[in-house]
Amino acid sequence: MSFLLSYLVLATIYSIAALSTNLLVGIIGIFSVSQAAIIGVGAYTVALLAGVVPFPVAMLVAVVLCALVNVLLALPSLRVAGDYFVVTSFGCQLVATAVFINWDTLTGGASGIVAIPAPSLFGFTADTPQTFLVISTIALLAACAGFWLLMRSPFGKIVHAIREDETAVLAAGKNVLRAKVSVSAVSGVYAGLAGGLYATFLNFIDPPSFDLHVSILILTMLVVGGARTLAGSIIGPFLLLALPQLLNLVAVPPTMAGPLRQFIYGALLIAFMLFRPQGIAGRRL
Amino acid sequence: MLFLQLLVDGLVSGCAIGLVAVSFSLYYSTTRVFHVAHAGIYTLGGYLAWYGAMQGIPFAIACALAVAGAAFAGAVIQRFLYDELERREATPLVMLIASLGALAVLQNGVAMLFTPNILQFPNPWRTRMLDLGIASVSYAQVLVAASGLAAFGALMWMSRRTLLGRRIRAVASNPFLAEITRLGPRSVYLAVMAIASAMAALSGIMVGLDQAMQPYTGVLVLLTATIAVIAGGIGSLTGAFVVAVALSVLQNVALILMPGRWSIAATFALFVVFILVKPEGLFRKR
Amino acid sequence: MTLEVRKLTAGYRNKIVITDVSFELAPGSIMAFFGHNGAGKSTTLKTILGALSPVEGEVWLDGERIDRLPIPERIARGIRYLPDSRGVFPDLTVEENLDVVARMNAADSGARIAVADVLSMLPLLEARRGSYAGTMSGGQQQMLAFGLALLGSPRCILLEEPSVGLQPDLVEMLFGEIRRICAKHAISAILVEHKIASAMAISDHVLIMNNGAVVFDGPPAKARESNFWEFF
Ligand SMILES: Nc1ncnc2c1ncn2[C@@H]1O[C@H](COP(=O)(O)OP(=O)(O)OP(=O)(O)O)[C@@H](O)[C@H]1O
Ligand SMILES: [Mg+2]
Repeated sequence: MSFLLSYLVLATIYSIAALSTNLLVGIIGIFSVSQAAIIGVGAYTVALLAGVVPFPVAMLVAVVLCALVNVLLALPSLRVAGDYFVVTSFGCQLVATAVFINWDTLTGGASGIVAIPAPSLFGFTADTPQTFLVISTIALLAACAGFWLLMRSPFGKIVHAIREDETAVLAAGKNVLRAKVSVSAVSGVYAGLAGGLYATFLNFIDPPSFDLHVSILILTMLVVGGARTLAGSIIGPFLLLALPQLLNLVAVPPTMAGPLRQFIYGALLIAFMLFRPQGIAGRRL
Repeated sequence: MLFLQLLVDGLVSGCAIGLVAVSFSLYYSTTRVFHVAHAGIYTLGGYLAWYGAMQGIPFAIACALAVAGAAFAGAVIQRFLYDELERREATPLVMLIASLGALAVLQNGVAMLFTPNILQFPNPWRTRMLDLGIASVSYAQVLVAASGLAAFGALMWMSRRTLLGRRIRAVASNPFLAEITRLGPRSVYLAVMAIASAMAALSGIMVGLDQAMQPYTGVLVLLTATIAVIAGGIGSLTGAFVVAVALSVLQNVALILMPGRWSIAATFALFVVFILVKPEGLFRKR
Repeated sequence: MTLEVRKLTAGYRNKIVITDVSFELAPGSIMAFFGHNGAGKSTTLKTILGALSPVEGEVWLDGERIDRLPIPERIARGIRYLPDSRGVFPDLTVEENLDVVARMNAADSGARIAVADVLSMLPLLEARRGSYAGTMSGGQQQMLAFGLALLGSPRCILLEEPSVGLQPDLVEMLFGEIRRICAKHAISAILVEHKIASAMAISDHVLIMNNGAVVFDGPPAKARESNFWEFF
């Protein structure tokens, strides 16, 4: 029972993460393999602040920090042309992992941070999967509402129009840069939210929780579910998080489980790009 | 002297990274596909050669087989992934995600076949040292430098002097004209992928021989290599190689001042500053 | 007939641009192809080349139907195309440009135009053999592009405004060469041009297109008398 509940909690958290990636990859149309790094920034921030300040304050700091970092990282892609950003994105992810591992006075190094306190809000502490599911579901609903509203806001409309015809939008005198920056800030907020929830739910974080493989996992969730829609970002995580459970049914040696999972994610990326780039419920990338 | 030793070590590993940079640059400037799975080919090459060596095959032959195997794997990716995607008029973003998928498949395929642990070549001569007076290098390091320089030289010669080299440069600079003058862009892409994969694999083997192998280190190597490609000026093979060697020397010499675990962060910070200041690269194309 | 175009209808993604275009080209003859900007001349040439596939109609070359063949197959049979821009490989020298195209088209049979023929025909190129094509002036590049379009065994050359960027005496020289080489090797040519007088001077045949339809098809003498100017 609690097994199913943790699956649900994790799926809601990853849905928020997928929405964050969706805003960058699906909506603005920039490649990102560094979303896990941003989520990591949020998670470490909350983990470090959780015992010091009230949970909502820690969350707020994390969310603001992540929005800033995400905009900083997205800026080069908005200024320098095309494929440079692939390098920047890989670089950010690898550097973030190096920082998580090596800045050990702050991050606890490879052993990570343990005993992160469960979130408490108005005297109510979410220390069981049931209660946490309430919090994470509320967070996901809020994120969905934000996504929905953003898509209908002037910013969302501009970003959408850019996909259709960038020159026309520029010619109409719209502030393209500001729209893209706003969307990537919201994407950062979501990443911070997901990171904070992740840290306080598992009470434990370490560098591999936010490495390149996790970025690829989130991207796979997005691609399988389908980019550019709300539904896609929720379907993907719920499906892909079930995969490890399925793999438990076949006997795989424990050292092989990770590589096998990631192998399957890679194969899924390839298959969907070849045969269904819009994913299960998305629109054409 | 420590400084000279670090300098020589940097030059040696620069040859290996240079090979990855040059081969990536060759493929990228010809096809405009950002082939991140190149890191997976690099990894695959090293492991194939290791497997051969473990079976008792002489190193040179294991090496040749592994290079051929990696070239074949690259050709498969070209033919069944990138060509297919291009036929479906996929956007660059879709190509990139597919390439990332291929990278995950290659790295984890290697991890599943050969375990995710650190592996070392069994050949005992690889650690034997050679004293150069100012510094000493291992036999493996000699091979790293020699193979890197030789492959780079061969590529430059091929590019300037052979029909295939001319076709490659022609296709890179004007694909539509290449199509209507029957230069066969498709088969050029395939050839370029095979050549680039062979070079990456050679680099992966030599680095594996010199140090050790782990399935996921290829990405870090590719990151340094792509930084060199961009800083060297896209399309300039010499620029890519020279900057790769320079970066590697810098990373090594910086060990005097800073622990090695920060070198990737420092390199990357340097790169970010660089593209903001000089986005067109050091070596301008004609 | 070298080239026969029958009731060709073609265009771009869900947009038909040319309808019911028909004409014939005898061996060695040159057809001047006129029309206002956007009339559909380039669309017609691209359909003959194979860069666009026709919605309806047929294209025949030397008695063989070619409208279903991929571009390289048509080139192998003697179709040549001079694009209106980017007709050279900028990163190759003049010599390398000619060499690579000549060698990749060397296996074809029939009348052969080799690098030496092109160089003697266009002495301007001879003088710049070692220059990178991308570093040459627009007119010099245009000469090289024309040279590339001749190599091998051309049967029918599709020329998109070859005079663009050339100084007046070179236009006359180039058109003279087109006339001479077509007559010598029995090659036909379609000459899309806005320099109407010069083009008509070397043509046997004039085709005028207006909004995607052929509105005049006849000899230059008749074209001069007709009132086709109203279409511009
Ligand atoms: N790639 C394209 N996609 C969609 N429509 C196109 C495309 N190229 C041309 N067209 C349209 O097809 C029509 C005919 O164009 P085409 O290029 O054949 O004209 P043209 O006779 O060659 O003109 P010009 O003298 O200016 O070269 C034009 O209305 C143009 O807008
Ligand atoms: Mg035209």
